[in-house]
Amino acid sequence: MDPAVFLTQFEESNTAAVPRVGGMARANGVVIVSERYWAFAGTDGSLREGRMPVAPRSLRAIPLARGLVRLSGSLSPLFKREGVARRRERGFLIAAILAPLVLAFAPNWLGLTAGFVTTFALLGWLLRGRTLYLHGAEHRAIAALEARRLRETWKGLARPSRFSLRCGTNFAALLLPVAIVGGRFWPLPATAVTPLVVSVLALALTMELWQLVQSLPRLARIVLLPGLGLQRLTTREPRLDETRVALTALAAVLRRELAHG
Amino acid sequence: MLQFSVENSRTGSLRGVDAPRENSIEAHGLVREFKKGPRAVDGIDLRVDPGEIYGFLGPNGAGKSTTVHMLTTLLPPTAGTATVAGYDVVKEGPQVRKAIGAALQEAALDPFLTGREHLRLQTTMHGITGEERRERSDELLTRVGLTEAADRKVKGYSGGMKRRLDLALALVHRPRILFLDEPTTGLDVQSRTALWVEVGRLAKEEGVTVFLTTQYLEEADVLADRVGIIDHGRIVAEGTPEKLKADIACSTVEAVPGDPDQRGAVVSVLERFGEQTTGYGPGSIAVQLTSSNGNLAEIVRALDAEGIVLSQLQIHEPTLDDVFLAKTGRHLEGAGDEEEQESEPELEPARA
Repeated sequence: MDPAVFLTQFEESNTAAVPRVGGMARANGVVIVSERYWAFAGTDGSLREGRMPVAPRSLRAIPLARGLVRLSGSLSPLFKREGVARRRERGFLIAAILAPLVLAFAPNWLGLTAGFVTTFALLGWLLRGRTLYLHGAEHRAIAALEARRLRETWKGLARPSRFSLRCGTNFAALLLPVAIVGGRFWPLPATAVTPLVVSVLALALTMELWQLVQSLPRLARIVLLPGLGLQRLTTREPRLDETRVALTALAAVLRRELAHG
Repeated sequence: MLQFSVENSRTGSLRGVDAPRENSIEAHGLVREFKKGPRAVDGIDLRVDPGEIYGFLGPNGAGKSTTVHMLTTLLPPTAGTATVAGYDVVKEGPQVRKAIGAALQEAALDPFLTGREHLRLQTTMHGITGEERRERSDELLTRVGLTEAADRKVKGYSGGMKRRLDLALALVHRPRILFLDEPTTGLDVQSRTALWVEVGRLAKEEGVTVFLTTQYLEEADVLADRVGIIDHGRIVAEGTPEKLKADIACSTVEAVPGDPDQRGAVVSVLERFGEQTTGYGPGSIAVQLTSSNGNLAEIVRALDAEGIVLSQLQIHEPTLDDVFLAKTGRHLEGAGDEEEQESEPELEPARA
């Protein structure tokens, strides 16, 4: 289905509710996710779609745990076998995530060295190709949806913001101080696994904070100011064709959401 | 890449969208040029009256689809004006899209959704919800004969089923004007006939104005109240099928000699009554009669006078192909071997 056609119809149908969507930029395309569906549109014109995992209701109700569930769910398009990442890439990402677990028991010098290597490798992964431009495109597409300016954005007549309050950069900027404070004031005796526990708790706590801040837009703008500033580095002004890639993924997710009521 | 071609709805006309307008289609001097190539549509004037089925007949590349894309706001005209349901296709795109339904050649279906899910999507987009949505979906599925297949994914549908679903989707919001772009291309006879019946019913019983493009002579002949014949972007003939045939084409006589050695003699006799033509059965000789020249009885007498024995003699009534031949010097079939000079639609809805 032609995305421009669909987006025009969507915009002209005042009754169609706007589902909450997020996204993820990759070197070769953009992933847009809703609560139930994800779609990846590639710069080569490809389109892949899938369902998001549904966590048990009980787990989604437990403070702290719910944040971690949500966080891991948002990464599912990357880690699913039929997702957007190839096998080798999935292996690399799993290794990067598991590295702190292993390194917690390694000598300090090894842990530090491996930590630096992993960090640089991850940065390299994040910044490869046109990821930063597509990151901007992803934000623009979502902003266009929220402002109901999809047609104009597709045409290039409107350029909604490439900065987003819900961006992962903001989350990272929020996580950093939480993790530092958590480590600094950790009340229990330090052991080999303390950094790991602190990290996981910091993630969970940041997610809670993140949800709270998102529900208070004014507060969000203040608290997330550092993250918004960082987005000047993690996003670039996208070309129109890159914005259309993100809009194509967005159209696919919206279509599924509406089709399944 | 696609581009939008219509104005933002926020800046559109202030006239009420739901204000009653005539269900007609009008075009004046409609032109569409593409960057590389000739004019795909070269100054078309047409009018389709409310409740009428207008058949737009022409070979591949004639400009049929480009015309439909302009009338459905998918493509902006390079020049000229057009109104659909009383709304300007350039300035009042959203209003046009609300008034029309369109099932275009590139069926806008998602292979991974079921027929019912497509209808749910389309009804939601048109603000039809709850019980009304279920009723409307069921009604349309029944009408196009897809009730049993409604919960199957579209990727398992045949071409005919996809076309019928596309038609159902175009009808969701009860459009006043329906555009069908070659709706039966590639369909088997049964599916084609079923679609004709439904289109005829829509016009007759519901007063829907239908603009139908086709390259099938029979389709235009059977279905259309009026036919416009297009070639190289221009309308070369327009009228009711009967009038077009009566005005332009004449009957054709086809004879098969009983003795193949008498073939030359048969040709010689028949050519007194008209010009030899092709496209008939093997071994037969066909002559298109000139309007004032002879009738079947005279031809039989002339053949008899020469002592010719025939194994078969038939008279064919004129067809729209004869009209096309008379107007363009070519037969409709195979006339459009040159590729259609069309670009991607620059905007918008496959159905409004």
